[in-house]
Amino acid sequence: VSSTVGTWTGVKFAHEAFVFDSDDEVRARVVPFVDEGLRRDESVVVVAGDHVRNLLAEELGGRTAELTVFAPAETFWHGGHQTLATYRESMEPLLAAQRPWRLVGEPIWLATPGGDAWSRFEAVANDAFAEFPYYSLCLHDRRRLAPALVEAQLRVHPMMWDGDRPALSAHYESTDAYLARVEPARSARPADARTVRIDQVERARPVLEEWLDTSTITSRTGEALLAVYELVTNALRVSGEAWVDEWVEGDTVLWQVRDRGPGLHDLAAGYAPPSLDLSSGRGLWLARSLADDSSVRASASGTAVLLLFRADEAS
Amino acid sequence: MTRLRALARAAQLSPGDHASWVYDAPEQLRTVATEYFAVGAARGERLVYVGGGDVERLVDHLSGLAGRDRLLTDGQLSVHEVSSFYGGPSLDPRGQVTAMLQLARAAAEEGWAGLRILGDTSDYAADPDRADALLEYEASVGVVPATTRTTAMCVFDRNRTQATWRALSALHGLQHAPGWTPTFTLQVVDGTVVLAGEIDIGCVHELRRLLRQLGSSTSGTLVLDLGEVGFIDVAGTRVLATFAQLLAATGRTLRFRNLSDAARRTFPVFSLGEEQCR
Repeated sequence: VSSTVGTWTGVKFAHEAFVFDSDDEVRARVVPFVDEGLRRDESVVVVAGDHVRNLLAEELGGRTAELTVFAPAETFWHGGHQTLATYRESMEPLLAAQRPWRLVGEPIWLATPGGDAWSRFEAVANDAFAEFPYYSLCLHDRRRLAPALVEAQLRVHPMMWDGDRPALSAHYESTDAYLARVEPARSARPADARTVRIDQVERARPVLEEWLDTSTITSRTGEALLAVYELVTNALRVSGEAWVDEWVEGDTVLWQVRDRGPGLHDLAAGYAPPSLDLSSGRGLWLARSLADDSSVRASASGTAVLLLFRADEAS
Repeated sequence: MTRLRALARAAQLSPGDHASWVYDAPEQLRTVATEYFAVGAARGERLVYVGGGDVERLVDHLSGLAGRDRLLTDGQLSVHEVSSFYGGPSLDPRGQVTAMLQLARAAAEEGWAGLRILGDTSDYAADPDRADALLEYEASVGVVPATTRTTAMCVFDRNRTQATWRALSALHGLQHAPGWTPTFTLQVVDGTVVLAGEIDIGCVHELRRLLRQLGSSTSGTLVLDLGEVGFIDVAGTRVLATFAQLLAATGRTLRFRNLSDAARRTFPVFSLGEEQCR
């Protein structure tokens, strides 16, 4: 295949991990990728770290002016939820241009504290952006990233560069399988957990505020209150009642909201950015974005959403 | 601006207050009015009682007020039928605010310690064609107690005013609304719309109604101050985002100012920000 994007026809989303050890590999993979996009009259977007951008600027010379975006990745990270939402919003003009686009993206924040969560959002992107005419080439520098981070990236990209062409990744896992692997493990609710059943929305905040008064979370009580409250109102809407549990494990406060509704069987619910339509649900997305970690589990008896807030010293 | 407080007794009110009181039975109104005016009479305030029905009936409401007849004779107390006081069957919100300011100034010029008014506007609130004008009036009349020595209490008959009493209550910083105390208040201060308190899914209907009314009674850019919002959820924020969209569709701008911590948590969910419109 002479194309830099394999058999991609510019109709649907393609998602490739490009893992490299040297600047020469970057030049060899990325420069032809950019040039081909410009030749095909696609929008070409580059969001990368300083090192890669300097390298590309040197190689591309005046052609950088033809890029739709040539921006630093250093300021792009605002947590997984907001970052993926920013990605989504930035696609609006690209979609409006009605032509395919290709991205050279280097998520340099993977190496920052909490940045490893980005792999989950890369996984979710495969479904969220599936219908977009978009090729995402994701750059991962082995010289900067710990092996576990690189390994995670190979699990969430359906394709990887094999040194010669884009190939299916043997490491790729389905979104649900990947999320189930990396989300916080579910331990049984301990006997000393606080539990309350709520069947009226007016009852929710007074109860939660009372619990938060005696919680080890002291500086982010507003976030915890809002997050749990949103889950409770969701539960009330689908099933008319909600059970809230709260307990502590080490330096972490866990809040669980359970209902007996039909069940959220999509583990990825609340990761993908809300639709731009104002009427669509946003509560779960907000709750998960406010927590330090979270998971959604559905069973025949309903749905349980778990939110983790680390106590102040550790957060 | 008066922060949102629940009101237990009408006797607690003093100059600067703009309160609402929802009643369920005429006997409650008699008790509240009597207690309210007794305090004002002792303070040497000018007392104005406005209500539905004929004046004779209104005077009878105050039969328990000590020295009622003397107060009437001396001109300290006056009693008015609601539509004659508010200038006829249709209410002119702006004109009425001006009239109230004049009344307050006249009371001061005449040497009274202040103006104390109780208005039962249930007739307007109960009429779908006139309720919006009343909402507009209540949203802006707060300027009278804020700038003169006026105590104002607006009373509404819960049984006659359908759900409108809830929206009306939310326009007052002090509220007596048993069974449903609004958790937020909306007031217009110096042309800025100030939202305060807690906005959640339980009161989005009232917020939506008040904003729509504001949208239709104003023009140009609307500024919404959120500095005193202690809690807002996704449902409440959705109402604000939808309102911004509604104004934008008519070429107008909604600006958000002074976002509280609570608003900063939910605004990004709808891509809303400070001093921003969409």
